[in-house]
Amino acid sequence: MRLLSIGDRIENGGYDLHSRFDRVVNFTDGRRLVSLVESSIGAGPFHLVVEDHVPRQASRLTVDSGVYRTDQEVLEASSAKRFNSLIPFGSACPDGLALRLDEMEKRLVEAAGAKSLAFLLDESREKSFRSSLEHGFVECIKQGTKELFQGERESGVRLLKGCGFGLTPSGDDYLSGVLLALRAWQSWTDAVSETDIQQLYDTALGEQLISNAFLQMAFEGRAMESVRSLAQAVFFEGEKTIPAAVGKLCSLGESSGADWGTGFLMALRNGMDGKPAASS
Amino acid sequence: MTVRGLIKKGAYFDSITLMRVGKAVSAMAGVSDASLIMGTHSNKSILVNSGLQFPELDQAGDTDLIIVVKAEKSQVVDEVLKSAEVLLKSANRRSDNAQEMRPVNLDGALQSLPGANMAVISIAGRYAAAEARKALEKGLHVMLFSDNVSLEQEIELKKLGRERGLLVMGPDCGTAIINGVPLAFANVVSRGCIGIVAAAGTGLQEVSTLISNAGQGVSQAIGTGGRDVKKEVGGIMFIEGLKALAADDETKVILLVSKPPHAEVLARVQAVIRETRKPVVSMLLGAASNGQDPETLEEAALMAVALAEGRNPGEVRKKLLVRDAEIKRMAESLAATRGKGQRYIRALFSGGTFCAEAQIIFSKLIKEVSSNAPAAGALKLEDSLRSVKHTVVDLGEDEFTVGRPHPMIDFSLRNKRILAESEDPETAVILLDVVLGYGSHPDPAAELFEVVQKAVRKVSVICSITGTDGDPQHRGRQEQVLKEAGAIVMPSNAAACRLAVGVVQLLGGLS
Repeated sequence: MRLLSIGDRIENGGYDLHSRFDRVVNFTDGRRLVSLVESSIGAGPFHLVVEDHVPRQASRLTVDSGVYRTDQEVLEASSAKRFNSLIPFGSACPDGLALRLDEMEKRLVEAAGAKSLAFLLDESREKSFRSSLEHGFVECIKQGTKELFQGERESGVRLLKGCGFGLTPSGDDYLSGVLLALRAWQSWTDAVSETDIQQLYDTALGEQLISNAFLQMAFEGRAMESVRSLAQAVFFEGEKTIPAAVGKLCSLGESSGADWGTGFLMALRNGMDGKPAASS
Repeated sequence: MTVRGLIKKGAYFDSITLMRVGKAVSAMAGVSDASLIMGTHSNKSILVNSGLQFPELDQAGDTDLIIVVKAEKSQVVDEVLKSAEVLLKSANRRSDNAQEMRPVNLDGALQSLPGANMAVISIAGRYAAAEARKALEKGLHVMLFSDNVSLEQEIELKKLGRERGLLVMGPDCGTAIINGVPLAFANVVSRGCIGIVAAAGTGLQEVSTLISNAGQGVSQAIGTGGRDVKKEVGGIMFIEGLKALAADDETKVILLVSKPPHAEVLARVQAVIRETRKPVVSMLLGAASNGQDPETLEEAALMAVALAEGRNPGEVRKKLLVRDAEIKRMAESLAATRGKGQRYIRALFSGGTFCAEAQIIFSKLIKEVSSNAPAAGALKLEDSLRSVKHTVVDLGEDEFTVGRPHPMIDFSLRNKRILAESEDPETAVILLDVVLGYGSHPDPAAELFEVVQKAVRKVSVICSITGTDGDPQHRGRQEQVLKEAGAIVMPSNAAACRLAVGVVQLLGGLS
């Protein structure tokens, strides 16, 4: 089996099977996650992209100085590309960001699934949530984001963390988006410190390794391919590439991509404590 | 009320499976509330606050899946919990089996289906031409659904196809019916003796369904992609399709559908028609009329039907004129329900061909029409999201579809627009196409019902349904639901357009 791409944050070690899905098999050493993924999922810092189907029968993965093997075979890596997951925020300019965020918001509200957190951008979407459980979820998210952006970071994060539907709860995906946005802000302004970001990250971490992996990516200023292309569009390329990038993002999971995008957008707009985004 | 739950320790299911199973169990008879949710602290609090607490809830952790059900009857709760587990198990089994049947390349596909003689290709444009070439070299006909294939590549592929006696339908070909099998966005129609070549996808759908609904049938319906009849491509596949139907024993009448080809292409097509012994009906949308050629897709379809039945196709126009008188009476009734100031048509189409046909029909009577895909002298809309006087919108154009599903599948944008247009005091008529068949939304009428019901309080909603009772959505049922919502349902796009024009004519909206 041939590898097409190797993530830049995969460390040497032995990893046992964590979880299996249609196009993804996750392995863990108890702390970190490494995923064998099909090309339709795309490259990522912790991803090994395989040419064919993921080997669903594999139960162990070993990484040792550039050699990747499952308990069944050695993965051919000689022609694999190394995926650079770091987003060079330092070379992005916040000028014009407001316009690009407007475009992103418009596209996100159009493309996001009914049960995503895009209701935070468009109140009319709240009517998609009907049961008392769903209403409870909406209120929890609203309260959490309110507190987060009004300076009550810790309580806000605690409300959002683990909140919502899906394997990676919506609140976790939202917080991943927020973290990446804060990394961007940190490179442009002193208003966001390393301590702020670290605290938010530490509070957001839970016990679910998949959510934690996304949080870690964002904390480090990294992103998987589908998310990176949106960051690329917003920070470097301009309004024209945003629609396609938002579309790609919203195809991630049931609502994960849209939830991430909502957090990213709101944090870019609001900064850490309700400060307005850079003017265009 | 009874609430019970299960905790599946360390159970990981992807979000889409969780959503699907959650939706399924919530919809089961007798269920008041149900959810499949991860056992995080936040989620457990929400469950408690929502009255979905059960004794074991505290034992769930971040990595555990909670299945919780609330119902009047305890028995229902138990059954639904069991059903949820069964559904989750079968989702896992499907994943395991799917890989065995899912080839990752053309060779793998041919291995799993050795008798295949056609490849339907729907991948990103920049890779599509190479795969199409591979398929042709392996002797397969090609339907190329992908767009963003360059003109040069299209020409090269079609020349190769012609050399090898193979069809290349596309690129950007969304509709075909081959040997009775609907491909991509296509309808279930009767088989019969009318063969179709079309460089217009919804045009093909309209004529094939009208033919079937009129009691005749389709032998083959070959799509060519819209660019085929342009000068550069030279009508290669349009002509090859025409020749194939001319040689086909099952085809007795040939129907051609496209926008007007380039003059050189038209000349080549006409030369082939002259050599064809079978009757040919040419529907070239927007071409100058010679008095005998059909003026609308509906007329073209009915002319083909007449020819198939050995009748004079000229009678079709006479019958349609009689029908126009009936449409005029309908227009009078509708105009009488409209208020002062209401005078404009707002046409919101999911099919590009219908958008073009509407503009052609409107241009005969309405002075100023605007569109995001202008035809027949219409003005280009400055902002596709804002209507100006009479406006015809193709919601399938790029500005609406980048990063989102096509409007035949996802109605959310169009529904928003319907409501917005109905709030405009100058709107008299909202005109819609409803396209059924494979690939389209499984229940368009249900999607439209609420917004149409709201809109008809202020405007007239006129629509046509492209489809048959054999389609998964069942044309008859769709019509019934739309009528219940208050829409006027017409038998064709052309009829719907004529009615719309008739209404605004009476309201003084033609200038």
